[in-house]
Amino acid sequence: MSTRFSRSIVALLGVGALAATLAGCSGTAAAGDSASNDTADTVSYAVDENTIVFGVVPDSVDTETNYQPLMDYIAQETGKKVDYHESTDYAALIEAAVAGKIDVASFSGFTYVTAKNNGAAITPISSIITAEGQEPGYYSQAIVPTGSDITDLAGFKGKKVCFVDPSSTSGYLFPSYNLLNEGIDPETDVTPVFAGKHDVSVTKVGEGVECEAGFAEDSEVAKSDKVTVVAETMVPGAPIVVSDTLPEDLKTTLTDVLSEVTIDDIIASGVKGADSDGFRSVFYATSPVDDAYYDTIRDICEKTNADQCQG
Amino acid sequence: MSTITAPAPPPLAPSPGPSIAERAPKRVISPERVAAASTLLVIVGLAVVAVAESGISLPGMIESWSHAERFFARVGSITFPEPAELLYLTALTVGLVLCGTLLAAVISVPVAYIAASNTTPGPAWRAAGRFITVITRAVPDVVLAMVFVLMFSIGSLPGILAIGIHSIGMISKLFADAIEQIDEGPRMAIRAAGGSKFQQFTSGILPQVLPSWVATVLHRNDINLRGSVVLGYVGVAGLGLEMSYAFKSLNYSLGLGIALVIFALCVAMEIVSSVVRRAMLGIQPSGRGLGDRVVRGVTDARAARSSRRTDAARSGAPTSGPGLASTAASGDLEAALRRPWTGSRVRNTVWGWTAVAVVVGSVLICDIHWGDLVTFWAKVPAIAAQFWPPSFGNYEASTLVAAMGATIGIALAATLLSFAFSVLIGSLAARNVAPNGAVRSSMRLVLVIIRGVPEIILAIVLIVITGLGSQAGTIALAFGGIGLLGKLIADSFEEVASGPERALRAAGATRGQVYASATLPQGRRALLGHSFYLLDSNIRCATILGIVGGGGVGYYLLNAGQGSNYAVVTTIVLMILATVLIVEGLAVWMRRVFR
Repeated sequence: MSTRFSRSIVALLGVGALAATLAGCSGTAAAGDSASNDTADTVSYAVDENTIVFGVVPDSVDTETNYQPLMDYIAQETGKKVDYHESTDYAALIEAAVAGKIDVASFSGFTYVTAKNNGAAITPISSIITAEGQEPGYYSQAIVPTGSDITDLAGFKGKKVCFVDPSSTSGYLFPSYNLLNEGIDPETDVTPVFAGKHDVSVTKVGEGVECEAGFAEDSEVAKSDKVTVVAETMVPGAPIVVSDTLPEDLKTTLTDVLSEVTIDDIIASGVKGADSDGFRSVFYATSPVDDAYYDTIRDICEKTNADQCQG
Repeated sequence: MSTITAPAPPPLAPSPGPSIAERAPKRVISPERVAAASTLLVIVGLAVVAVAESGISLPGMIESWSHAERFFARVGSITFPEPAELLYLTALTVGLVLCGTLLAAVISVPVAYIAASNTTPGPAWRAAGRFITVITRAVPDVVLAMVFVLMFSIGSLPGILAIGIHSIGMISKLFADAIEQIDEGPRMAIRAAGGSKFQQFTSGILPQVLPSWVATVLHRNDINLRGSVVLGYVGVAGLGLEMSYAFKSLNYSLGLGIALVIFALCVAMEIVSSVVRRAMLGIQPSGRGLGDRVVRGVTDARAARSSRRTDAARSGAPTSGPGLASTAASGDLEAALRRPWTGSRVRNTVWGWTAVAVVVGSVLICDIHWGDLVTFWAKVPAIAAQFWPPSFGNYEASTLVAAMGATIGIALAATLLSFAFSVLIGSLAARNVAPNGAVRSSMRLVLVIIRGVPEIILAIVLIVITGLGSQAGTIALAFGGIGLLGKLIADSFEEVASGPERALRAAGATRGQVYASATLPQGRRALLGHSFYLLDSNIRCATILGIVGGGGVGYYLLNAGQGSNYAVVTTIVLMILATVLIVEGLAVWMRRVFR
C-alpha cells in the first residue's frame, strides 16, 4: 500500500467521522418530527413496501427455528421479499416490535403480552403446531426425582427448587403462579435455584442433590428417566403476529396466508425445501389464535407482578 | 576479505548494455510473496464487501434515532442493585475471574514447558503442547460453561473452569514464547554444575520469564473480566448474570446500571494492572508490553524484550548498588550473608502478601464446591455421549454454513472498520507521532475507555435501538476493536527504530512526512500482524454476539445449547475451530512471507 494512499485514507476517514457526527446531530430534529406525526392510522413498513421483515425468537427450548420454507411461502404468496431475522433475546424483538421494525414476527405468548403492554401495534393471527391434531402450546411441568416423597406442588414448600431463569415463561413465571396458588411464595417459601437452562434444571432435579424439586418444559423432561412429573400447566402457544401499521390489503393477505396453512399447502405450492424432515419436525400447520387466548398470561402477570409484564 | 572482493572486474569492451535503471539491484519478487499479497488483497476485498453487506447505513441510523430517544425515555433514570448486593456481586465477579485466570496460569506452566522449543522433552510433546494451546483458545468459553454446568454444581465452579480452560490457550502460548526467548546461559551453567531439570527451570528459566509471565496473566485477567459479562448470558454467576436477567425482563434501567458498574470495574482493573505491573516489574506504565505482548509474542518479541530487560536492569541497579557499598564499608560478614531489607524488597514483599490475600479472598468468595472435582468424573461419559457424534440436527447443513459465513462476514467488516479508525487514533496515541502530550494522553484515554465497554453490552443497546441483524453486531465489534487495535498500533509505532525518523526530521521533513516515510513503513509488519489477531478475535466474538441477536452462527449455538441439542453444538464448535485455524494459518504464513 502506498503511503500517500494510506494517508489520504486516514484523512478521508477523519472527514467521514466528522460528517457522521454532524449528520447525527441534524438528524435528531428531523426524526423527532416524523415520530410525532406517527400515529396508528398512518401506514408504515419496517423497511419498505416491497419487503416483509419477519422476526423470530424461539418460543420453547424445543424449537429449532428453521422456518425458511415458510418464509419462501410468504414471499411467494405476497410477491414481496422476506427479511428473516432470528434471535434468542426477547428484549431485542420486543423493542423491534415497539419501534415498528418488524412486519411479521413469531415469539412467545409472554413476549407478545409484554410487547403489547409496551405499546407495540401488533395483532396475533395464528400459532404454529408441529403435529396433526395438536393444540398450540406446550407444558410447564413440575418435577421431582423419581422415588421422591413429594407428590404435589404443596410438597415443594421449604425445599430447594430448581427454576430455569427469572425471565423464563415455562421455567419460572408459570411455576411461580402455580406455587402462589398453593400459598407458597416462590421467593421466600422455597430455596430458589436458577439452573439457567431447562435441561440443567431436569438434570439437577434428577440428581436430587442441588434441587429436591423443580420445573422445566415437557420436551426436556421427556428426555430424562430420573424425574417424575407431579403437576403440569399448558403454556399458550407462540403467536405469529402482524404489524397493525401495514396497509389493510397486505394485512388481509398475510392473515389469509398464515392463519390456517398446513405443510401440505406449502409443499403443494411448490416451495423448495418444504418437503424435508427438517421442516416437518418444526412445522405441521398453523392454528388461528386471538388476543383473548393470552389472557392466562395477563392473569399471571397480575398475580406474580413479574418485571417483564410492566408496561 | 575485502582485497578479494573489492576489485571490480575491469570493464571489458563496453557493449551497448542495459541502462542504469535496468542494471540497478532489484528486489526479487518471489511467487510466494505475490500469492500472499493477492490473498491479502482478496481478504481486504471481502471485508469491503462485508461492510457494504452489513447494512450499516447512516440514513438508517439517523432514521432510527427516534427509537433511541423513545428507548432512553423508557429506560428512565439508571438504577443500581442494593449496595450490599452490588458489593457482593462485584466481589464475586472479580473473585471468579481471578480464580479462573490463576487456574489457567498454573495449568499453562507445564503446557508452555513442553511447547517451548528449548525445553520440550521431544517433538511429540511439543506438538501436543501446541495442540492444547490452539484447541483451548478456539473452543468458545460459552460452550465450555455450557458443558461444565452439567458436570458441576450450579455456582462459580463452572464459570471458573470455563474461564480457566479457555484462557490456557493464550497464556500458555505467550508463556512458551517467553521461554523460547530466554538467555540460555544461566540454565546451561546450572546444568553444567549438575542441576536437575527442575532446578534448571526454577533457577535458570523462571527468574528470566517471570516479568513477562506476570504481564501476560494481568492482561488476560483484564480480558476475562470483560468476558465474564458474556458468561453471564449463559448462566455463570456474577454481575453479568444479573445484567442478563435485568435486560431479559426489560428492566433496562437496572441493566444499564449494572453495565455501568462493569464498565467502571473494567477501567479500574486496567489501572490496577498497570500499577501492579509497575510496582512488581519496574515496567514503565507507558503501556509497553500489556496488549502488544499478545501479538508481539507471536511476531517478533526479541527487540522489545531486550529493551525491557535493560529497563529492568536499570531499575534493579540502584537497589543492589547501595547494598554492596554498605556491606563493603562495614565488612560485617553476618550482614553480608543476609539479604538486606531494601525499599524494593519491602515493597515486593508487601505486594506479594497482598496478592496472596486477594487470591485467598477470591477463592473464599467463590464458595467452591471442592467435592465436585472428585465426583464429576462419573458424569463425563454420559455427557460426552451427548456431544458426540456431531450432527446438523434438524437444520440443513447449508443453513449452518451460511450462518458461519455471516459470522465471518461480520468479523471481516468489523476488522476493516476498526482498522480504519485505529490507524488514526492509534497513531495519534503514539508518543513519536502525536503533535503534543495532551493529544497523546487524551487518545490513550479514549482507547482505555473504549476497551472498558464490553462488546456485548454495546450490542444489546444497539440491537434494542436499531433492531435485529448484523448491523448492531458489526458496529459493536468494530468499536471494541478500536480499543484493542488502536492500543497495539500505538505501542508498535512507539517501538519503531527512531533513526529514520530523526534523519528525516533533520532533513527538514514535516511531521506528516516523517510519519508517512519513517514511522508507517517500519510499523507495517506489526500492523499486519495485529490486524490478523483482531480478525481472529473478532471471529470468536462475532459468534458470541450472535447470542444476543447480532446475526451469524451464535444464535444457532445458543439455541442448540438451550434445547440441549449438544450434537449440533459440537458441529458448530468444529466449524468455528476450522475457521479460526484457517485464519491462524493464514496469519502465520503472511508473517513469514512479509518478513
